[in-house]
Parts: sequence; structure tokens; C-alpha cells
Amino acid sequence: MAGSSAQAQAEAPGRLARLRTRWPRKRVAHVIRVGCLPLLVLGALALIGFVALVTYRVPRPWITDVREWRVGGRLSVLLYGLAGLQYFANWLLGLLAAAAGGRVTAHGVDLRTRLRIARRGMVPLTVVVTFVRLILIITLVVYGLYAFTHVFRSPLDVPGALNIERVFLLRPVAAIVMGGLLVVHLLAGPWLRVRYSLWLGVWAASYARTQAQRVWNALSARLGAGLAGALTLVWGGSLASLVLSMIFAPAYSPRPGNGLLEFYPHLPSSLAQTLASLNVISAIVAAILIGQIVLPVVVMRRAQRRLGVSRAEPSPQA
Amino acid sequence: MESRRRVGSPVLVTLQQGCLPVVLALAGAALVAVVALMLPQQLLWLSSGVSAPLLGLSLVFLVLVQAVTGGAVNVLVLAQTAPLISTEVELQSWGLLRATVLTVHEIVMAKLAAALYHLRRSLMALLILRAITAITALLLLAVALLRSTFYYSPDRWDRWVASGVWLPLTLAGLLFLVWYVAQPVVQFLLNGTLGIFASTAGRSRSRSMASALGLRMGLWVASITLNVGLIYGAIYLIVINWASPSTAPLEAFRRGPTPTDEQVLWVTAVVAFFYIAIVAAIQAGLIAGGLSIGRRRAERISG
Repeated sequence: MAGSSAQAQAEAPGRLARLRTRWPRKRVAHVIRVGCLPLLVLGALALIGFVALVTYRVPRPWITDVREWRVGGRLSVLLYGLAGLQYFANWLLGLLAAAAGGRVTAHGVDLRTRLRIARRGMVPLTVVVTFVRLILIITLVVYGLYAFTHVFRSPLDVPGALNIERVFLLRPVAAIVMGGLLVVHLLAGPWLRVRYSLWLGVWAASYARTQAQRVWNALSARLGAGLAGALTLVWGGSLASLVLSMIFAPAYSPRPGNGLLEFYPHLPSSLAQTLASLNVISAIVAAILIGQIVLPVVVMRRAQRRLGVSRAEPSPQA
Repeated sequence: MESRRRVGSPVLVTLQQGCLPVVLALAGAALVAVVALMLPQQLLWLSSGVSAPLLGLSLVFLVLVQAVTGGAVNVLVLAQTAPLISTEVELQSWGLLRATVLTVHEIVMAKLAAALYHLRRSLMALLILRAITAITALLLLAVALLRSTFYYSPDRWDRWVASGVWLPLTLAGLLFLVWYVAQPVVQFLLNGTLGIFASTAGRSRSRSMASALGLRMGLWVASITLNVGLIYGAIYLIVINWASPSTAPLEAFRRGPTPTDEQVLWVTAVVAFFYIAIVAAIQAGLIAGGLSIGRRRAERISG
């Protein structure tokens, strides 16, 4: 008994060592990076298959329009599923990019080459996230075709669709701008995120005293930036709403409570609300895009200054 | 030197370093969930403003994150400080330390400072979270006061200013704000002191750890029970009895005159101010007293 346990103890490091020789850490990371593309394609297809085959199969007795219930429900589930999937993948992408940026940081080294290699390593996962977002856009387009056109027989009755259609006919530019900004944000977002996160990781890691602290600093900076963005949305949105309602929609106004409606006094409340929402969404997406383009440059300059690298050498694209 | 001596295990280093990213990730995820759940709905269908529900739900989620991470950091601080002296006693190296030119006070304080220094990132995480919840709560208060109270009746603002009731309310609010934001530091020191105290009581690491956790649990239950009892007692006396003598359950208050709203606010604010000041003083006293007792007990420990 004692002999066999001693033998097992003697064998364990040997097996582990063999496993490590056969599958070194770099190889495992490479397999994960390369394998994530087919894995996510399969995941997205599995999600679509699951939604088509499993959900909304047996209509309840009170459902009058089975086609509308089935198609609308399945498209909604698919949209939420894809939105969640792309959000998680995008979050992971940012963390991995920041960690990679933190890992390559060091004083007096060729940062340009190191960052180029780190960025190349992030390409497969970035392609994956862009692909998932592309599927999301296609699903949105299909939903739009079902809701607003006669391409797939009679249009579905989607809540709010009538207002959106009327706003589109009334102010087509606002709707097209919002759609265009959303598409650009969805498709270019992962690439901009990688660029920003890499430099954020480099900058945060430049404050670390030890090698081990660099990755922790990079991760903290990336997560802190995400939290700051969410706080800007919550605090900024609340403050803006409060100020707008106090200035433009006091209690004695014809439509109290919502200052946004006062920007469109000639429109009925529901239409004004939809139009204001479109413009607010456009402004938020535009602000995120500008931030993703401008912030890496600021962070890059600060990181270069801290690490003593000349400005001309590495560009944000490095 | 003491800080450099403390070479932690990889798991401990991960816990010390990983606290800040975990807190940031949890808070960020909570806020994104709230925004994703509420903002589109509010934008598309509600016309009564988006601020209050958004801020309220964000605050609930953030306070939950704060409670969970605060509890975890408390345990981490206790686990780091409880074995500080008992380990030396167990390894029979306490006598050697006493033989140096350092005083017991210096040894104890250096050990405590080193343990807390290694957990500075956890403290930073909790302070960031406190600041975020405090600002969110202030915004919610501003929205609630401006939108629900002064928005529909601007003359109430003039009455508030004229009666001077804003002064005790602001002072009590400011004191509460300072007390609330400083709580991670206070709890950090309090748990460190408890750990040192337990460390001088037990002759082995496991015993001191168990007694530190037991002490913390006891203190936690006692403080909750006492605070809930005192706050309820104050509300019962001021709001239920004194503020409305016609329906007061206690006979002694039924004969008194009915106070005005401003008088009730004045008394409530003054009581709240002194209550917070007393709680802060008790916390400071517990830290100072615990350290003093711990040091004295450490002096009595023989090699």
C-alpha cells in the first residue's frame, strides 16, 4: 500500500513533465487562439439551431397568430442570445488584449516589435468577435424585414415598430445616421477595443514594480476603464435627464417630466419620444466611437513618456 | 523589512492582487446589466424620466457587490493578521524577536503594518466602490429631492431655507458621508486589531485564527443588533410618539403639543448627527483599545 502510493508520488511529476513537454503553455495558448474561430462559428450555429428547433414549438391556446408568435419570439431570443454572446466575447477580448499589453511592457526594449506580435496574436479572437457581431447585424436586418416589409408575407406586429416607421419616413437622416453608426460601431468596435486595451495594458503595466504585477495592473486598468464607461452612462444620463427636465419641462409645461420632448414641440409625444431616443442612441454610439479612437492616442503618449520611448517609433497600430 | 519577510504563497498573492480587478469587474458587470435592462425600455416607452429607477437599481446592485466583497476582505484581513504573533510563538521565535533592540510596540505595529500593506489593493478596491456608491446615492437624493419635492412646489425650497432646517440636515448628511466613505479604512484597522488581539490570545495559528473569526462574528452580530435596536428606538420615540402625540402609543407623549414639520426635522437631524458621531467614536475606541490590549498581552508572552 505504502509502496504503491510512493510509486504514484514518484510517477506524478514525470507525467506532468511529459504533458508539459508535449503541450507547452505557448502551444496551448496558440491552439485556443486558433481554435476559437471554428468554436464560435459552431457556437453561433448551435444557438441558431437551438432557437429554431427547441423554442416556440407548441403555441398556447390564447395565441391567435401562431406565425407572428413563433417568428417574433424566435428572433427575439436569437437577438438576446447573440447580444449576450458578443458582449462576453468582446469583454474577454479586451481583457486578453490588456493582459498581452501588460506582458510585453518593459523599460528599454523594442516595444514596437513586441506590440506587433501581441496584436497579431489577438487577430483570431478579434475576427471571431467581429463575426458574431456580423451575425447579430444580419439577425437585426431579418427582424427589420419581418417587421417593416412584405418580403416574408404580412409584417409582424412588433411593439414600437409603427413609431419607428413613421419617424423613418419623417426624419430619414436621423434613422440612417443611427443605423450607420451602429453598424460601424459593431464591426469596427472589436479592432478599436484591441488597440485601446493593448495600450491601456502597456500604460498600466508601466507603473508596476515587479513582473507579476504588470498583468494585474493591466487587467485592473481595463476593467476600471469599463466601469468608468458604465458610470459615465449612468451618472451622465441621470444628470442630463435631470437638468433637461428642470430647464425644458417644468411641472407647469404642457408635457411635464421629459425635457427631451421639448426639442420636438410640433410632434406628438410618442413620435417625439422615439425620435429623441434615436438621437440619444446615436449620440451615445458616436461618443463611444470617438472615445475608442481618441483615448488610445492619449494613453499611448502617456505610456511612451513613462517608458521613455520616442514618439515617432511605435504608432497605435503597432 | 517585515514587509519583505512576508513571502506569500501564490494563492495568497493571487487573492491580494486579484481583489481590485474582481471588484471592478463585478461593479462594471452590475452597472452594464442595469443599463442593458433599463435604459432601452425607459428611452422607448416611459416619459417620466429615466434617472431615479436607473440610479436606484444601480445603487442596489453596487451595495450588494460592496457587501459581498467587503465581507471577503474582512476575512482576508483577519486571516493575515491573526497568525502574526501566534506563528512566532508556535515556531519559538518570539523570544528571539524580544531579544532584539526593538520594543514590543514596534514589533506589533510593524507586523500589523506589513500585513495591511500587502492588502492595500483590496482596500483601494473597497474605497473606490464606496466612493461610487456614495456619489450614486447623492445623485439619487438630488433627483428625488429636486424632481419629487421642489420640482412641483418651488415654495418648499424657500420654506426650507427660511426655517434653517437645512443646516442640521446638511451637517448630519456630511458626517454620515464621511463616516460611510471612511468605513473600509476603519474596518481594515478594526479587523487588523482584532487579528492582533486574537494572535496574542492563542498559542497556535489555528487557535488564533478561529478566535479571530469568532470575535469578528460576535462583534458583527452585536453591532447589528445594537444598531437596529437603537435606531428603531429613536424612530419609535421621535417619529411615532413625539411627532404625533394624538396617536402616540406611550402615555407620556399624549399630553404634549404637536410639533411642526421643521421641529421634527431639526430633532431628527440632531439625533442622527450625535448618533453617527458616537458610533465613529466607539469604532475609534475599539481600534485604539484593541491595539493597546494586544500590545500588553504580547509583552506578557514568554518566548
